[in-house]
Amino acid sequence: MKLVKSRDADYVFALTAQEKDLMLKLLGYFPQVPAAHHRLSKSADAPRTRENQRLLEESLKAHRSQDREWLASSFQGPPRFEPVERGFHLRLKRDEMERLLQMFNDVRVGSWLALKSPDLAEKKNLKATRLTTPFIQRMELAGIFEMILLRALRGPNP
Amino acid sequence: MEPVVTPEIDPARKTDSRTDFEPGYLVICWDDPINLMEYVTHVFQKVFGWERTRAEKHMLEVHEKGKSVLARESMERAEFYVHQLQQYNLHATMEPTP
Repeated sequence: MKLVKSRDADYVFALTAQEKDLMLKLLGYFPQVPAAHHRLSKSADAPRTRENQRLLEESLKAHRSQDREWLASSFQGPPRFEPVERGFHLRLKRDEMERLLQMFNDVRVGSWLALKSPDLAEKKNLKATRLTTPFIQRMELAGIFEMILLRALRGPNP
Repeated sequence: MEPVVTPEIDPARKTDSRTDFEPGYLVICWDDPINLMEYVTHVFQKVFGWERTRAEKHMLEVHEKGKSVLARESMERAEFYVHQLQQYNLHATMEPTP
């Protein structure tokens, strides 16, 4: 997948059929991170902690539910993916790229949590087995899609 | 003579010198081994509207020192920022100022 055109807030990416399938399959795992994973505060002194924590989790669930609806209703098929000679052109607005970025990162972080949050600096902590390999693959692939989106958002001038 | 009216005091209602409007909360981002450095920089720029150099400085602080204080805000604003950062799955919390 690579950026072929960007103008103002409109972006066009070229993908092969395999990349398109991979992208949709990965996004199919969203959401992976449980809303209860996030804590509002580490401090017991924070006021109204329990109530605010409940509100935080509700807000995260609602946000993810909206993302899933968007994915199901307006992300798959034409005109989003336009067939071209060597695959597809994917058209995205800037705010949609932000949304996808959050969703890919959710799959990445969720897969890492499923692997029991290993320290990735130590490769020995990440053993590929029949059980762990699917999560390692999702984590790495989601990271690749993230980097493609981030580079496109950053533009040609670093 | 006018009757004397005294305010009702609810003993169950606690008062705190730190009100909802005082900048008494720190928004902190904590290090984790999963979020990409480029991603963290992008999120800081997006959520706080910072220039890239400032966002990178805080990202590196998170990476090298384990955490970075991103803002000092009222309770409401601190909650808002923490919600935003957590939507991106960053490890962020709000803590009362010491």
